[in-house]
Amino acid sequence: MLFNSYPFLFGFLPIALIGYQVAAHFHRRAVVLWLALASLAFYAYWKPAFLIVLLISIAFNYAMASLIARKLPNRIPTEWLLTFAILVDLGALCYYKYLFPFLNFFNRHAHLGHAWGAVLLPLGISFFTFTQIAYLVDLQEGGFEQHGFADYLLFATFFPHLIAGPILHHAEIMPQFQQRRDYRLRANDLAVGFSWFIMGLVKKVLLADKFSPAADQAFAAPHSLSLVAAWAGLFSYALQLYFDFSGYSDMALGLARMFSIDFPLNFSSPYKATNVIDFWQRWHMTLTRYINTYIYNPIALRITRWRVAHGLKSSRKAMSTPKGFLALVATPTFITLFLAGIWHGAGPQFIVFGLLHAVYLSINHAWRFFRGTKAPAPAGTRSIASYLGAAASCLLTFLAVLLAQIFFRAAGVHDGLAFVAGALGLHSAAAVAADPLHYAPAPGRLLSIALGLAIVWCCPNTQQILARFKPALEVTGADRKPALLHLSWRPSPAWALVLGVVLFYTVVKMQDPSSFLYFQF
Amino acid sequence: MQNDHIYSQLNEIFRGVFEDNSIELTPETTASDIEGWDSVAHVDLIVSIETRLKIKFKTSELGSLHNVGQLVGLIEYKLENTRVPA
Repeated sequence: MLFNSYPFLFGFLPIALIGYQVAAHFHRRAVVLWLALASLAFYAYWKPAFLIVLLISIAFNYAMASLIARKLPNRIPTEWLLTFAILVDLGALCYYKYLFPFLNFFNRHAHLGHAWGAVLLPLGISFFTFTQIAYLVDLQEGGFEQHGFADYLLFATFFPHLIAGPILHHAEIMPQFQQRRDYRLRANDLAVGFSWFIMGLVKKVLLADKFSPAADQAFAAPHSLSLVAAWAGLFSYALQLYFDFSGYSDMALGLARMFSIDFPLNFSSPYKATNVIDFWQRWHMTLTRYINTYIYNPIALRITRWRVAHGLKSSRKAMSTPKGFLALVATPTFITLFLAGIWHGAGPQFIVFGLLHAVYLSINHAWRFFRGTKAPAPAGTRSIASYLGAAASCLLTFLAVLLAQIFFRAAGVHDGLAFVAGALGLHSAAAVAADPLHYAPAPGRLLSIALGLAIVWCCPNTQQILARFKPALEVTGADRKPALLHLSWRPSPAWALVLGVVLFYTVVKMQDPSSFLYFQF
Repeated sequence: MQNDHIYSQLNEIFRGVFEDNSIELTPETTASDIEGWDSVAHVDLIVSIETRLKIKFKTSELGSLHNVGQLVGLIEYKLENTRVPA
């Protein structure tokens, strides 16, 4: 079920809230069970058959957790159990996500002439697989008791995060499900959560969906793009992706908040980033945290410990030498981003996307070593030059991100390269003239791109607007810096009126709900 | 404070790793308070702490740290419970 659909807004959500309120009169367990069942119904609505995949995954992982925690008596070494569980989890993920695209890719290039068909991807499979793998890894390393099945079921399926994140960590969510407190709905949380949800819905319906036709059009014909058409298409896609994912994340965090559950932030004005390291600390933040914890850190720690054990240094100075840089920075970064690229999709264009970011991050780290990091001057004392410098860094970062996004969106590497050529004005006049649609975008389209960029760069993000009400688990350093425009939500009649009118308009416009871009991952 | 000793050692390690002698750690210090505390510096920091205090961190332990206070708590726990040979 889509958050931006009538059945969700007028059917599922009110029933989930009322059921929650009723269950809260009985016991915490009733609340947990109700939310878990509601979440399963939410998932099944899309395609009932895939509910079985989800349930098998949960049952399998919980059983493996019980074996690892020795709740089910056994003598198998826990490392073996963990390895087996991860292999099965990743095997299932590969079957659904990579096997058929890979076979078809192989088929196309080896001219085997056999069509392999395809298999439908169960929604959210990589998200619920990742969440559960992390749970098993942490459990195997010790440090916490395995949770009861109902709590685990809710942790894995809670509908605000089930399909496209944020990727939760058990240590931040389980205690919230287990607290001994009054579980009835709280007016304050409902108000904050619902306002947040509306802001996300607006981003999705009124912004992201408005940019999608222009992006689709440009990426459908990358070989005949004029310079202007390529850039207009690229900006449209960048804005579509931004408002789509940011809107989705707002809705997810807002929905959780309605039930007095705080999620970790997933998005923090990424296009305001002034370098690529900063970008990844703001874009899909819970994925960054996940791959940092479970891929980057283990690799980098292993290499660093090995060096230290062999009398080599791990310091900044050591990283500034070519060998040290290669071992301590480039190797773990490239492996991690290569895997992050593949995670996003089965085509080689996603590998290009990942490797481009690996190059960016390596350059960024090298820059830090050789130039050092400078703390920004306190507000009020900054010179015009430093503001211009920050604006230039932001623009350069944005351009680097845009280049990688071409491959993120293109149908293949070949199309991606053609798009880049278009953006550099390299397509011949004849090629462009053959496709007049792409020659010059309408002025209205350019105006909406300018408006979209103004919102992205000048407006505060939703957690900044809601800052007084501690909307998420943590405030990021980036969110502490005020935006150019100031907006602060409060539970007042004025805000209620504005958001109510906006909601009404959005719901009227929401006739044909479109899926979220991150659902495909 | 019982963990004053850990804070002072940690402060020294932080100053070395980030090459910044003005660092003064508090329990509330987070990665966004210290310039240059990114994923690369984090690994250097963790291994420096491991080498200096002769402890070893696990993947899962590093995933759930949010501020220096929690890091100190974890170090305290490790110093009391586990010691790996140098």
